[in-house]
Amino acid sequence: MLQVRNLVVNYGPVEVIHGISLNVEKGEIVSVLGPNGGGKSTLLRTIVGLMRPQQGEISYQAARIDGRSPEENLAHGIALVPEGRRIFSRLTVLENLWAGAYLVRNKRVVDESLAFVFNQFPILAERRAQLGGTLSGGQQQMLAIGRALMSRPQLMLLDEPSLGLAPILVQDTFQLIQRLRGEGLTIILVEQNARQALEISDRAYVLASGQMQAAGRAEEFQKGGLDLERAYLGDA
Amino acid sequence: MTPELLVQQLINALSLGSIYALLALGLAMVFSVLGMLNFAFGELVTITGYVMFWLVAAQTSFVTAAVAGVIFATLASVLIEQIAFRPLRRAPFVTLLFSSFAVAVIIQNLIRQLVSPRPKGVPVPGIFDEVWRFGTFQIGVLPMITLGVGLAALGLLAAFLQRTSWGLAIRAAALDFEVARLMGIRANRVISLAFAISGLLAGVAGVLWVARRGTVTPDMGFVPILKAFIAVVIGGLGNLWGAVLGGFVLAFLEVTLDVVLPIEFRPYTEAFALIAVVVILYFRPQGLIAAQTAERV
Ligand SMILES: Nc1ncnc2c1ncn2[C@@H]1O[C@H](COP(=O)(O)OP(=O)(O)OP(=O)(O)O)[C@@H](O)[C@H]1O
Ligand SMILES: [Mg+2]
Repeated sequence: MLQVRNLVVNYGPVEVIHGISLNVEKGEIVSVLGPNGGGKSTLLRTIVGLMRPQQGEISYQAARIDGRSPEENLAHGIALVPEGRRIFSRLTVLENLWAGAYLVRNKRVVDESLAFVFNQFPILAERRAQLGGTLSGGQQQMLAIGRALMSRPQLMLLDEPSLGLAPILVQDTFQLIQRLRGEGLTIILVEQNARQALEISDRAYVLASGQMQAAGRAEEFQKGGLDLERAYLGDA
Repeated sequence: MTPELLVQQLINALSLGSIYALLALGLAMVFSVLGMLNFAFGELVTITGYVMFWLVAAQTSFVTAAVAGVIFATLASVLIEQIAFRPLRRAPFVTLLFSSFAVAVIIQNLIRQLVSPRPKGVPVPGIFDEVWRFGTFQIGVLPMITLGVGLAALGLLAAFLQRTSWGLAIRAAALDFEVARLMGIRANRVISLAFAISGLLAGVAGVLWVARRGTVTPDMGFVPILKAFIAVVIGGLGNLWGAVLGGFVLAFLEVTLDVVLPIEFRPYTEAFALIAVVVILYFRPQGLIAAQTAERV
């Protein structure tokens, strides 16, 4: 579904991703793990088009998409739930969700998506008139994911959805991601929480110091056939 | 102070406040979406003024001239963005600042060369100078019209921002431009829209400004942008409704000082108003309504 080949990404003159490759098949949950500053967020931001790669190719459903804008990518079904959630704090919960459906012109489809999101997150339905900034961390995470769902994506990129959440909420988040895959979504999950991410993933990559240090099936990492810790250190 | 005078001054403050609010909102609109201070904003008021001057001199009715002035300011604002700012989209903040400053200087000099460096009169309809009497109360027609037009414009804009999907796009982009793009909101379109609204507000404020002054000069944009800037700072930079509030607060400060200051201090009203602003900012450095840019974790 998505192929990334030899991707090089810079911030100004500084190269932070040094030629990485990755591929994701339809219906998979693929984790991208790795230490702080490894380049995980940069990878996701480049896939959706917030950043332009220096070199390399990104293709999605057999079409080259490097160079497309985030708007175009969203229209083609790629949605990013950004790091830190970044909900619109001064918009109401409902307005946040409407913003997520900005590209959907059909009012009925918007209402259906809204019903789906409220069904997944009943608390958001209760607080629909409240400002996003007044929600708790866990509720903001639900809103961030719900907002991305409003565009009816096929491929959803989640950047550290469990960050800063209480352990019980982390569990809920991972369960939700599994449910979404059950609904037909394909998911790329960036996580620091490696152990739990592997439990729900089909495959995983480890990205450290801007390079793919390891890649394989989730069980191989769990059973120790692939050494997660050494990959984290960046010289596996 | 007599109740009559009090009511008069109250209406003065509200009418001046509605002009300041329009100006501040226009400046804040672009600032909150793009993070740039548009120094050429005052020149949109100037453009409105000269379009009106030209049309009124050509025997057009004042109202038609006013509408044309607003339309020209709106178009000019969108055009300025495309020519002077869009090519610099990725440039640092200071580059954009200089670019907008250059636009302001160019427009002023074009007017000096093509029209005249000296003030030109714009005859306003006689009714503007009239006074309505209710018993012992006297109320100027112009302040009432100003207040009515100002509040109507603010109300329409609020409805647009709160109730339409374009309005939602603007508010989302003002809060977090990058995430707005992730929602599929097209960057160029929302920026053009912000400049159009900014120009429209400058145009409406410009018409009211010209109606008060009755003259136009090439540098007439300076005071409006200064007031807008102060009001925006009072209200909280990057916050749309804060800008509106800041406009009214500034006008009330000025009118109050004008009333309470001894006559020999009157020429310094604006200086005292600035001191009052500094005092406000001392107690609330983020402005009356703090912009919320920080993320929660
Ligand atoms: N806006 C920026 N300007 C310059 N360098 C940046 C910027 N953002 C990130 N970097 C650098 O790029 C590298 C990769 O950062 P990135 O945010 O992609 O890592 P990450 O794996 O997502 O880390 P984290 O787990 O902390 O979120 C880091 O060295 C970081 O310092
Ligand atoms: Mg990150």
